[in-house]
Amino acid sequence: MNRILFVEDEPWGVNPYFRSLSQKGYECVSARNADEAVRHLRRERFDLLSLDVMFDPGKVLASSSDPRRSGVHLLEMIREAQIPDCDPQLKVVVLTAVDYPWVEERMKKLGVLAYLKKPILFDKVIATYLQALE
Amino acid sequence: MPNGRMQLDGHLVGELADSVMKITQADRVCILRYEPESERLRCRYGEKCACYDDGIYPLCDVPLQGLPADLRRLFENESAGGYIAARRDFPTKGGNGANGSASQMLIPLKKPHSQPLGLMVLELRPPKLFHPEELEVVSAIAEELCALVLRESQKHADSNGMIKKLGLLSEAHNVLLAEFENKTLAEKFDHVVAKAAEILEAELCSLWLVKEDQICLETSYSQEGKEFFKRRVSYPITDGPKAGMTSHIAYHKKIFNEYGEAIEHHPARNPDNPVDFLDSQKMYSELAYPILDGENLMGLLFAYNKLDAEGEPIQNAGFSEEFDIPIMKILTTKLRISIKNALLMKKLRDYESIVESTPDPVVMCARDGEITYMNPGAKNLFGELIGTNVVERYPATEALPSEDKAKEIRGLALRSKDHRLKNFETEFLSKNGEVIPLSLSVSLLQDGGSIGIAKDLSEIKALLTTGQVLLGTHDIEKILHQITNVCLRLPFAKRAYFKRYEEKTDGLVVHALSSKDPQDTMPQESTPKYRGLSGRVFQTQEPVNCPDVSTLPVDRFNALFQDVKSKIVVPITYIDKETDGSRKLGVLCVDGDELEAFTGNDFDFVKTLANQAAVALENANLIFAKNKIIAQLRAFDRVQRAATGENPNMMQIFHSVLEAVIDELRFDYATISKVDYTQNTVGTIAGRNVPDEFLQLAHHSIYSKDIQAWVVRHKTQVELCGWDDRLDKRIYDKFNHERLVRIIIPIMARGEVLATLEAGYDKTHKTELERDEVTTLERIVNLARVGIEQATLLKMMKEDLALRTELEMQLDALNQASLEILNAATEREAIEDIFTSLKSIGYDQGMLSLVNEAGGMLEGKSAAGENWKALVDATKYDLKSRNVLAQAMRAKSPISIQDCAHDPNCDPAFRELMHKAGITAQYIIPLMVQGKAIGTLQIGLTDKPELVQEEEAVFKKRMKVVETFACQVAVAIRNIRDMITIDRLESNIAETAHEFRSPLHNIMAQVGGLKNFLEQSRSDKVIDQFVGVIEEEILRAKRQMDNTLLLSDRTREKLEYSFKPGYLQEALEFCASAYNMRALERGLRFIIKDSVKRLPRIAFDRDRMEQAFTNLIDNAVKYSHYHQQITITGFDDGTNLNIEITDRGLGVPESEYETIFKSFSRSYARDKMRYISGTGLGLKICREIIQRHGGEVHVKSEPCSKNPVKVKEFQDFLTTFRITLPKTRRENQI
Repeated sequence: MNRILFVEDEPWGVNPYFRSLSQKGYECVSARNADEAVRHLRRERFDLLSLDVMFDPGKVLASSSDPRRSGVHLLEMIREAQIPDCDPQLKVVVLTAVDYPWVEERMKKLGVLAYLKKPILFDKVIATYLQALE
Repeated sequence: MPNGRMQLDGHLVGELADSVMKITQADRVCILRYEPESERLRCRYGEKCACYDDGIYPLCDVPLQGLPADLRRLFENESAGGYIAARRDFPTKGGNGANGSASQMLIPLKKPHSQPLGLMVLELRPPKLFHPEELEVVSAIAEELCALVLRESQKHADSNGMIKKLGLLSEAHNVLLAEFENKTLAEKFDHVVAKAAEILEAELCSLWLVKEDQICLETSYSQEGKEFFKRRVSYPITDGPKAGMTSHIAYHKKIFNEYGEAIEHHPARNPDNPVDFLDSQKMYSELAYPILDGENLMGLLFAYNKLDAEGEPIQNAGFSEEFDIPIMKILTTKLRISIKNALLMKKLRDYESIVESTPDPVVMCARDGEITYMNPGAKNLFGELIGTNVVERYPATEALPSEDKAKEIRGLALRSKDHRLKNFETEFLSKNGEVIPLSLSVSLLQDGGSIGIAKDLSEIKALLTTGQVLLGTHDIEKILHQITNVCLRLPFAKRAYFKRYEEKTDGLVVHALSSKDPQDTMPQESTPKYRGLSGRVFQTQEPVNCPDVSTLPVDRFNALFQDVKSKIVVPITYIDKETDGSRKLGVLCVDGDELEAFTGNDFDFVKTLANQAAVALENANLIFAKNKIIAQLRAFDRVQRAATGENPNMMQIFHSVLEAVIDELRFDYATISKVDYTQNTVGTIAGRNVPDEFLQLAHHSIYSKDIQAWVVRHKTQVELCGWDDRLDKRIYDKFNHERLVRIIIPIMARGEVLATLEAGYDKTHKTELERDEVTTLERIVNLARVGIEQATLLKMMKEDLALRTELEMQLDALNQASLEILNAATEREAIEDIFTSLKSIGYDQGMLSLVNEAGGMLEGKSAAGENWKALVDATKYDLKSRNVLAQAMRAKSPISIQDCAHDPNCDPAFRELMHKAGITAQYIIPLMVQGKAIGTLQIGLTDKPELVQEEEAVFKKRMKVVETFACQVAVAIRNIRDMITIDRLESNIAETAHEFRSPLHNIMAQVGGLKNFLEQSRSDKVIDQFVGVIEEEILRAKRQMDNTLLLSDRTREKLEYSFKPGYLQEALEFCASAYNMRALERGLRFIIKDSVKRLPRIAFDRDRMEQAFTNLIDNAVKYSHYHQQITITGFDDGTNLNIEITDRGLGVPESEYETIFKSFSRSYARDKMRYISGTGLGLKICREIIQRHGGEVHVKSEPCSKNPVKVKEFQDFLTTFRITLPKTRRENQI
């Protein structure tokens, strides 16, 4: 089964996608903060991660330097295989309202399939995810 | 008549000759007969002819051709008449002429308009001039007699009667000739008239004389003698019917000879005029002969009623034409001459009295020069010289001996037309040898003598000389003396003096006394200008010649001198012709020691002198004034040149002042004393005409008793003329300053006395200082002052320039540094840069302190220099404290501390601090940004004592450089802070952007989802959900926009609130409803208690209040844990309405109760737990809104559990935000 994890502290921004995506056969899971995200990543295997940048770092990212860049730190953790049972090569699409160049650069450096900047059209988002999953 | 030619009867001629000789007193008479056939004049009357006396034959025989031309003309010209006198050349005695040994009178014997029958020659030996009157008489007689003779010759009438008549005539003549004897005119008249009556055989003869316009009876004689009339008879000289015969005849001035009817019925006869003056009571005949002087009638000689041999009036005949009328003619001629002579004599007597009384000398000389007459004037002037020869009186010169002079004068007179010489200037020696200049007028007399009248020129010459002298000098005293000396020339002048007007005393002071009495002294005092005779003349400007001073009223005459009998006082007034103004200079007085000593001439003389004196005095005054002005100008020039030269120098200027005062203004002495303010002394540094010892000794403290010190202290000038309590007695006595009159003037510069000038006179020279001298000195001091100030300024400018250059360099350096500081990225960098820069310009000690962000405290940030660095941490001062740094910040201006230990601004704690750190001097500069102090910069000056002790102005300039730098520092710091703010803002903006983007995205997602859903199915519930979210998100975006628009404090301040009454509950409900979905999503529930619903109405701005509530609710939602309640309660405490919003979740630490309401503050504690997005402005905006409503908002957090571990672990707090709003909004809240 294809699964997509959505890390997003405002679920309204992603919930609408779930329906469309599940119709396409993807199971969508949402995590509101870093702790939830890590929990999900440890427990389950995902095909795609839709990652916001600004969310609650929680405990797991408490020591990271900038809580506003929790997404970056989480991705770092993933890529550095610091999350057990999580594929460091996990496919990631970033969907964020944060628009700092260095964030984008960093994320891209860490390896993301797409960097989507909010607000973005519904169809575009769905298309990107579908493309990423192929 | 034999052959028609007339012949002269020899006998008659002889008688004629005799009569004529008697009458004329001639020595010889020669009567020649004219023989036309031979054209010769022959003397035919042999023994009767005078020339016969010599017994020489032949008799006179003169051819007509040989006669002098005029005589020949007489003969040849029928109409010519007259006689020729003063001849010497008629050839008598055999044709040889008189040869100058006689003077001759030649009278042709002829009837008018006919050829002469002969010539009568009268000779006078020795030759002398015929008296002109004699000439007339003689000619008249001669003419008449000749005519008579001729007639009688014709008629061959009774020659005896004729001879008798001739005898009578000569008697009459003799009488008349006796007029040169001392008979009065009246006696003479009587004689003539008496004789007339006798000769003419008239009943009455009268002489009438013209007096003015009347003809008046003078005297009458009848045969019996003098007739007397009761009244004076006179008639007007007029004509007309019945005017009166006498008037008529007088009017017509013609001979009147009528008798009988002609008189009776004469138209002019006035029947009213009585004829009672005639014994016969009737006018039978009347003969009147006019006595004419040229055309003028002098009188009439009347003969009335010719008598016959019995003495009875002849009734039918009148007076004879042939004899009576000629007699009348002769008699009237004589009368005329007599009357004329009498008038002449009267005139002469008048003249005589004039000559006697005139002061001008009149001198008469005989032909040989002997002085025969001198009038009293001449005697007075020349002395008694009668009998001496006038020739001796002309002073001889080498060129011209006296005689020649006399001859010259005489010659000039002779050559002139009328034998007169007028106004000839010459000199005359008086009896005592004095040379007197004269202007001489001379007339030559008939007898060869002369009469001269002269004008004494000595006075005029004296005046001229005086005038020249006066004009030649402008020494006033000399002028005055000259004049008074000249006045003494006046004969009776005893003394002469001036009374000069002095403005000072407003009175008259005696000057230039000249006196013949050597004892006379000049009085010193001045008399008031109104007093006395002098005063009167001075006021009235009327000169006075008083002949007797005792006649003056007592108050009018104040005698300055004794023995004054008469006096001349003349005003001396200068009249300016250009301005028509006049200036009263004084009066000139001449005292006489006799009564009536001064004549009109003397008076004029003195007046003339006075005029000259006025001009000369005025001249002198003007020259004096001019010279004075010139001296002043030169004095100024000296000082000016010294003061404005290339390098004006104080000593130079002082010396120029001394030169000006002594050399130009002619003061007796002068000194300059200079003030030394470091030692507070004043001492004489330069002087002219003062003893050296004085220069050495004249040094005093400015607080001592000495006049220079006094002047320095009081900064005012002083005039002294003797002792004064302010003087140093020691100096005064030692140098005998008693004798000085002086002034001491301070020379000021910039309000301080630099030096003093003392100048003055020895009292023997001058007793007091004139006002304009003082003014001149003041002006010189002023010039010197200006010069000194300029010199000082120049010096200062030069020094200033050096300083400026240094400071400019410093400023440049700092400006460079500032640029770098401005580019500093962080505060720390900036502060480091600051101190580096300061060190580069020499200030390596100091501290920078800044106000912390929480506000209220000044904290030391950074320092340079070891002692300062130690103080940084200790530097924490409340901005409201007394601390000097806080003071500087409040005062917004620098404070200079020279010695911390003693400066009153430093509080004890600060003093202690500084003392411990070894800091004494510092300069505190507040760092100002836009009128607000954000910190202080202390510049340590302990190691720079020379700067601290510098002149205040210079120190200020130096510090100004640092202050300028400090400004830039402040700006830099502000900039940095701003940049931090901007950074934050930017990051906030970034986050704000995030806050914008998020809802928009959510909206998009929801819309997309909705669309999707709608394509597949329809469910209202689901749709509602979608739409609900969309709406909230939109509102969220709106909120965000609202908050962002209010980012700037200023914008928020400017917002206008409109307060309308309403219920807070409604706003709360509305705001809470905006969070429905979100609350739902988090499991949160809003509880709005009834207490809120019960709150009364209140005036509030709906929109703003909603914003405030939204922010609080937003806050509550954000920080609340999931699945909690958010409770909203309200209560009315009487004054205020209160609303409380409580949530359970992350709390607010007490330390942050206030700070969370500040800009951009985040709750660190809260944010550490989870990152809460937001702008950080919400609470601040909320508070501002509530405050604008006159209320307040506060927060309180309480732990929910008593277990501290749990609290810390889970952050479980009940946080309540309370809004307090006053029920009645105070006006000034807005």
